Amino acid sequence: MQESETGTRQGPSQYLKMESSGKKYVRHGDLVLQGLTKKFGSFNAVDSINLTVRNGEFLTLLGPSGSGKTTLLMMIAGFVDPTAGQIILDGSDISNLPPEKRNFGIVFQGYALFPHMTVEENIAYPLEVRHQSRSMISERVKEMLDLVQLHGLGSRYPRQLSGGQQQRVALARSLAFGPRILLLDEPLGALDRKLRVEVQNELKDLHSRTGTTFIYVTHDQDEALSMSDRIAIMDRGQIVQLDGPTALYENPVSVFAANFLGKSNFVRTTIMDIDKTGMQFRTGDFLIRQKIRQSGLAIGNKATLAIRPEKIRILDPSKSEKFNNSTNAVIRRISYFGNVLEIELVAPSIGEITASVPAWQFQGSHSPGQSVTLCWDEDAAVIVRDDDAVGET
Amino acid sequence: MTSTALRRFNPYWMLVLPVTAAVALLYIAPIINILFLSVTDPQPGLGNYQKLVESDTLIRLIWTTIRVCLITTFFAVSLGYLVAYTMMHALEGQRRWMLSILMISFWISVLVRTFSWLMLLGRTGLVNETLISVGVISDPIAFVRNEVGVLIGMVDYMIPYAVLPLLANMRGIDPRIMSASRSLGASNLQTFVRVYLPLTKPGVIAASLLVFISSLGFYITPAILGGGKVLMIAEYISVQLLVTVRWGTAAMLASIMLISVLLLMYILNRFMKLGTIFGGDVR
Ligand SMILES: Nc1ncnc2c1ncn2[C@@H]1O[C@H](COP(=O)(O)OP(=O)(O)OP(=O)(O)O)[C@@H](O)[C@H]1O
Ligand SMILES: [Mg+2]
Repeated sequence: MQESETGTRQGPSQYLKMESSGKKYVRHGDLVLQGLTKKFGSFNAVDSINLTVRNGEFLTLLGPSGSGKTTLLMMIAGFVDPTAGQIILDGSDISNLPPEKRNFGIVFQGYALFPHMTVEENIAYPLEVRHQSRSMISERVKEMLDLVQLHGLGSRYPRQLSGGQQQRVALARSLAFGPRILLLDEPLGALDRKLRVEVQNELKDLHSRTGTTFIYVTHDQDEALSMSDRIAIMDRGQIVQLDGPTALYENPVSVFAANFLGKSNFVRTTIMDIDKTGMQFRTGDFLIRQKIRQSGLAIGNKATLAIRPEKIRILDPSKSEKFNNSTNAVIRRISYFGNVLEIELVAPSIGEITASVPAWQFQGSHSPGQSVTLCWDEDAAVIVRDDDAVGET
Repeated sequence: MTSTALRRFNPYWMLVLPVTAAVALLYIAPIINILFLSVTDPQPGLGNYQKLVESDTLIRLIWTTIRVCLITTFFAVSLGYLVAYTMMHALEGQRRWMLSILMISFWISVLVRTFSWLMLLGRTGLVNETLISVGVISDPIAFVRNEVGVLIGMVDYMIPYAVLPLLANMRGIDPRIMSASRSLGASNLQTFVRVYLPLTKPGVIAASLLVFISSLGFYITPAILGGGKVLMIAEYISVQLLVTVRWGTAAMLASIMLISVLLLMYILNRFMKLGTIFGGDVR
C-alpha cells in the first residue's frame, strides 16, 4: 500500500517542472504525453498536458466532472484525435496509430461487454481477433477466469451476472491479451459502496500481480488515495498537481487541489517574518507561526495557509495552557459522521474554521454555542496558491 | 369472488368502451364474416381451400406473391440497413435532415410514387430517353411493366419501413461496445461482422417481417408497374370480388393472408416487442 514517493519533501511544483523537461527520466515502457491538447471548437477540453506515465505504475487521473479526464484517456486509447501534441511510447509517436494497433486494454464505464457472447467468448475475443490457436485461447481464458475469480461462470451471458462480476469480466477481457497499458474509466462507478471497496482491493492486487501500467480515471478521492502510486489532479483540461497520495494530501499546491483531495481550512495572511526555522504570518491581529521554508516569498507578501480539519485541536479554555497558534472560538454546529465529528467553529480572529475530531473522544462533551480554544501545530499548515485571487502574490 | 372482481374492475375502461364497441362492430365483425364466407360460399365446406392445391393459377399466384415479397424484403432491408447505419453515424444535424426526408417519403401517396417510377423508367421515360440520346443503348430497356418494375417500386416504398425498426435497434446499442472491440484488437471490419451485425440481428428480423407483411398486401404498385404480367394476391382478390364475383375464393385468399400475417406478427412479437419497433429501447 505504500506509495513510491520521490524525494519526500520535494515541492510538487518542482516535480511538475521535472516532468515537462524530463526526457532523461524516460525508461522503456514509459508513456510520454507531450503538449497533448484537444479542442472542441475553441474550447480546450484537454489543454497542453505533459506527463510521463512510468512503466508498471498505478496512475490516477482525478478531477471534477468535465475536467477532461475521459477525453485524455480516449486520446491515449486512440479514439479521440489530439488537436496538438504527441503520445510517445518507446521512442515512437503513436498518436496516429488506430486503437486496435496500440495494444492498450480499456475498461469502460458500464463495462461495454459483448451482450451476445458468453463470459468465455468475451474473454476469448481479443485472442481470436489475433488469430491465436484454439488450445492457447482456452488455456488463457481459464487462466483469466482464475485471475478474476470467476471459475464456473464462463458459460453465462453478461446479463446473467451481477455488476461486480461484469466488472471482473471486463477486467479479464482487457487483460487477456497482455496489454501494454490498462486504461480504466471510472470502472467502479456503477457499484455500491461495499462492493467498491472490495473491487478496489482486487484491482490493486491485480495491478501488483500483472505488473501492467494502470491509468485510472475517477472523481472519487478515497479511491484515488487508497489505490494509486501517483495521482494527477485535473482541472479545466490541465494537470494542477501530480504526486504520490501522501505528498499530495500533505502538500497541496493550490486551494483547488487542497479542496479536491480532502477538505481544508484556508487562512489568508500576510507574511510578517521569515527566519531559519520558519515564518510568521498575520491575519488581523492574530499571529501564526509555522515551520515552513519556502523560497520566493518575502516579508509583506500575501500567503494563503491551508490547514486540514483533522489538524485543528479543540481545547477546553479553562484548562488550556498557552499553546502556539491558539485562539478563542465558539462552536456553531456539530455534524456526526460515525467515525468523526465535524465541528464548525467561528473564531473572531480568523473566521470560520472546521475541525474534524474522533467521535469516540468528543461525543457528548461539546455542544453548539460553547466557547472553546482551538489551536494547531507549527507543522500543520502549508502555503497554497490562491486560485480565486490569481496574480495577487 | 365477485367483490374482488369488482375491485379489480377499473372504471376508466368505461371510457374506451364506445371505441372498443365500434372497432368490434366495424372491423372484427367483417373479418369474421369473411372467414365465414370462405367456408360457405358458394356451398358449405372446404371446397374453396381445396382449390389451393388443385388450381395451377392459384398456386402460381401464391408463389409469385411470396417470391416478389421475399426479394422486396431482401433489398429493402439491405438498403434500409445502409441508410440506418449511415444515419446512426452521421452528425446530429445531418441525421435530423435524413430523418425528415424519410418521414416525408412516408407521407407521399403510393399512387404518386408508383406513377413517378413509370415516368422515370417507362419506354419513353427520363432514364431511357437519356441513355438513348447519350448513345449508351439503342432500344429502351424494359424497366417497368414486368417483375423488375414491380420490385423497384415496392423496394423503394418499403425502405422507410425497414429503416425505422433498424434505427430503433441501432440506437439501443452502446457505442462503447464497438470501441471496446477496437481496443481489444479488432479491426473496423472485424468489429462490424463479429459485434455490430449480431447486435442488430433483432432489428434485421423485425424489419424483415415488417416489410414482408406489408408487401403481401401490395395492390397498386404491382398493378401499375407490373403491366398486368405480375399478378399478386391482393389484385387477384379484387378481380374475384369485382369482376368474376367469386366471393368464396376471394374470402378464402383473404383468410389465408390474414392468418399468415397473424402468424408472422406472432413471430415478430417474439423477437421484438411490437411496441418498441417504432422507437424506444430494444430490450
Ligand atoms: N465530443 C465532444 N464535443 C464537444 N465537447 C466535448 C466532447 N466531448 C467532451 N466534451 C467536453 O469536454 C470537456 C471534458 O469532457 P470529459 O468527458 O473529458 O470530462 P470528464 O473529466 O471525463 O468528466 P466526467 O467526470 O463527468 O466523466 C467537457 O466540458 C465536455 O463537455
Ligand atoms: Mg468521463
